[in-house]
Amino acid sequence: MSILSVENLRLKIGTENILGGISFRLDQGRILAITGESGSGKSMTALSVIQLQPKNAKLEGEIFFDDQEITKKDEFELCKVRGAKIGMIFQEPMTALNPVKTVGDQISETIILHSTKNKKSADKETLKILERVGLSPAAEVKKRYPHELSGGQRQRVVIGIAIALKPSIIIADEPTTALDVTTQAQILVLLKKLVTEDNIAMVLITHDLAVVADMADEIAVMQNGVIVEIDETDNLFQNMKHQYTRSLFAASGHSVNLPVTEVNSDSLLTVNNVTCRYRLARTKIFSKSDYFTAVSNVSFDIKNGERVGLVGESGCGKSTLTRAILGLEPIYKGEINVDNQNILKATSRTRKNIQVVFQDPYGSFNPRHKVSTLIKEPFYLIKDSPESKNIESKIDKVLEDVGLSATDKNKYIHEFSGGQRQRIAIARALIIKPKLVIFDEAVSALDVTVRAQILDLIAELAAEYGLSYLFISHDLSVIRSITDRCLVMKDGKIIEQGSTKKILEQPQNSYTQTLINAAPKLPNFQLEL
Amino acid sequence: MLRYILKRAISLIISLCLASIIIFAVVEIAPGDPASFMLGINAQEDTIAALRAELGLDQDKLSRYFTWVTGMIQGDFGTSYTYRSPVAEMVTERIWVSLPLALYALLISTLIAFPAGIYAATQRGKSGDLVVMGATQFGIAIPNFWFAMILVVIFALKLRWFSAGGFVEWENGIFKSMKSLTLPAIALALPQASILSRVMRSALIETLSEDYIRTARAKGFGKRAVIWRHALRNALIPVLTIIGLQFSFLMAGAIIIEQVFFLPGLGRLVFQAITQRDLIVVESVVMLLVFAVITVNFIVDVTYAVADPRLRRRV
Repeated sequence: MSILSVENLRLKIGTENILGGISFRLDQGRILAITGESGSGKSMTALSVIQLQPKNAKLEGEIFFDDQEITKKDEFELCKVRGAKIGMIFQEPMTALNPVKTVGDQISETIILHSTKNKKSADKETLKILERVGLSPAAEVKKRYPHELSGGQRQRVVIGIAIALKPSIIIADEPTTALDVTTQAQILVLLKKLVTEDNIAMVLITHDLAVVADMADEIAVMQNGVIVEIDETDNLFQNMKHQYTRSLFAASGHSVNLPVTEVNSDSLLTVNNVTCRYRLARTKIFSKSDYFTAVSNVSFDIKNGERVGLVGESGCGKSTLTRAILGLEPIYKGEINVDNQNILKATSRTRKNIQVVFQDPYGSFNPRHKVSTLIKEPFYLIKDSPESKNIESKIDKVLEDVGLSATDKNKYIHEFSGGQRQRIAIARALIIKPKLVIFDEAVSALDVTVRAQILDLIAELAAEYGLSYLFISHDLSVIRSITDRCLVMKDGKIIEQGSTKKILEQPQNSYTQTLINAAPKLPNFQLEL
Repeated sequence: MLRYILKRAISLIISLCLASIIIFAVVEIAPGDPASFMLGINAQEDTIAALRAELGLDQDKLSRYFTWVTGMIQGDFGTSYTYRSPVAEMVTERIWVSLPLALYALLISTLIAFPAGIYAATQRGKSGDLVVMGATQFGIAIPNFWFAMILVVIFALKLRWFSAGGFVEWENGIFKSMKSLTLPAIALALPQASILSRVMRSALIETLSEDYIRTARAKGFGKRAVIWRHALRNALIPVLTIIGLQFSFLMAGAIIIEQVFFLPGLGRLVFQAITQRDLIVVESVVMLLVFAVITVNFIVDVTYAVADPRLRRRV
């Protein structure tokens, strides 16, 4: 008997159809993965199951949980189901916990709410739960506040809340998306272990197809609010029936045709024994400040025509290093030269040679400027030079080069999708013909099909513009497809560097090996496109 | 936590030192000699000089500053030029009116604003919210002296529940004194309550959209329980900031209301002292107010840390 069955679920917000008739069943102890790109309705499906969809949403259809119609229950009855019988895990462990309450209290309040236990026995129970999710009681995690824990630890606490009352179902909405790859691997193992031990059914919502393949018994692929294909995991990989499923998996395993370029011996960028550090808060009022060394004695160079990747997990110092290369960060020791000029003393003529594309296509544009104004901004660096002539025709050309049309220059940034915005960001970086472009997690916020397109575009432009670039990413598959050489960074140091192929196939450093092993992999599958 | 308080305390002392220097300097720079002003335009040169000597105005600036500061620390605020009585006495008398009035008004304002703001936030977009927001719009727009006069007309003249003005000294019983402060406190509280309930509402609405509120709902808490257990404490920081600012304003900004109700408060004292060029009084009262404001900010800072554990570690 199915523990959860959803029949023809429809959800409308205003006039917009978010869900267009979703049906699925989930049996006790099984894992159903719902996957698809952003906006496909995955999260809304999850929220509907616990009846926490937005207030202005109109819901139709039936949801049976434990043979009871959830949508017909009133708020009071729903509160007894939520948390007790259906546990929920959310994406962002940084914000999912209340910052002003200790994590112990946040677990024990769930227990107290749904049982007759008093505070003392709930606290005892909490300790057991913390231990189950891998947080040792010796560390007194119970008394800590969320900001005192790491992202992975916080997600363990959120999982602890979800399993506290041994629910029949857990709904996990992108539970590992915000985590580093090694942490992700640990959290996935933990989740699988817990649901198997307690025979919990799980709805796992994720855009990451490799995670899906690893975890799920059954996979549902969503597109535009409908499930286009649903099947047992093994069957699905052997025989993908729907065109969208195929294109999704194809994009996920996409390999880019990186053109071969000539590398000459001129160094474009040299990073010479660079150390960057931050002052930490004093431990005593009159004691000397301590420093946190974010980048420690890093040296490398990028030659003309080289495409270099920089991999590392969050906190490894890659952002600080990036900012230092762009001249946005004070350098404590060592120096960084672009085109043989110290970046901190460089003239705007030199600075124009280094441009950047940021991660967030939504936050990195001024919403009040037209696209043409946004794109031509780099020309302010070289206002009076002859290169600044015919800017209008240059705008048209670069927009077409990145796959948009010249008429797009009169639009505002909110009129574009995430992928198109990233194209505009690339146009802004390229219009001034820089020698070196820095891509700072430039495809991390994009959906897999869009990511594949942008990576293709970068490869194409690399040939056309003769680009050298530094591609910063936490994603090994991206680094594999788009770079010739790569650097692995950990704790502020470059621990391994060499050709991308060699590092990914025969990593020498144990950390690099861990990183590669932790990354979830898609199984081999046949694609007939 | 202790370190946080100590840090805030040090910054409190530094602010006070700076404030005293600035106040002293500003009053010094202001044109006009108090002695010649007091004696009128026909006064003889030597009478003025004698008065200057008596008032200590002939000494050099630095030593006058230190006399003033050390005096204040010992509770000696000097002698008023015009009233010829110790400033400390005058101020103490007034502060027993102004301080209770400010606290009273703040209490009323908070008692109105918290429920109103919380109610409006939970009813967001519905008619209850619109009513509360409309009422606060009024509360901000209506000048409080006008509102004070309406209060007097209704509650003093028509209903005769309260007297129309004046202050009943504390010796006559706390209840009577508080009663005489009630109408002024309500008049002062109205705009403050309106502003505070708007701040409460928007802070709460913002908090209610946070992820951890969704987590709490997914745990099985109802809408109301979520507000009490999770949202309110997080929404408190902006509200505390405004309460701190309002208290500072109420201490000295009540001057018009004091006039309307004939209350012998600090506001009136400063006003009179300024028109009579009684610099010692002005200096002392301003310094006292600055002290009150900075202390209140210190208390607000400490309550921040109580409300939000993330601030305790920050230096």
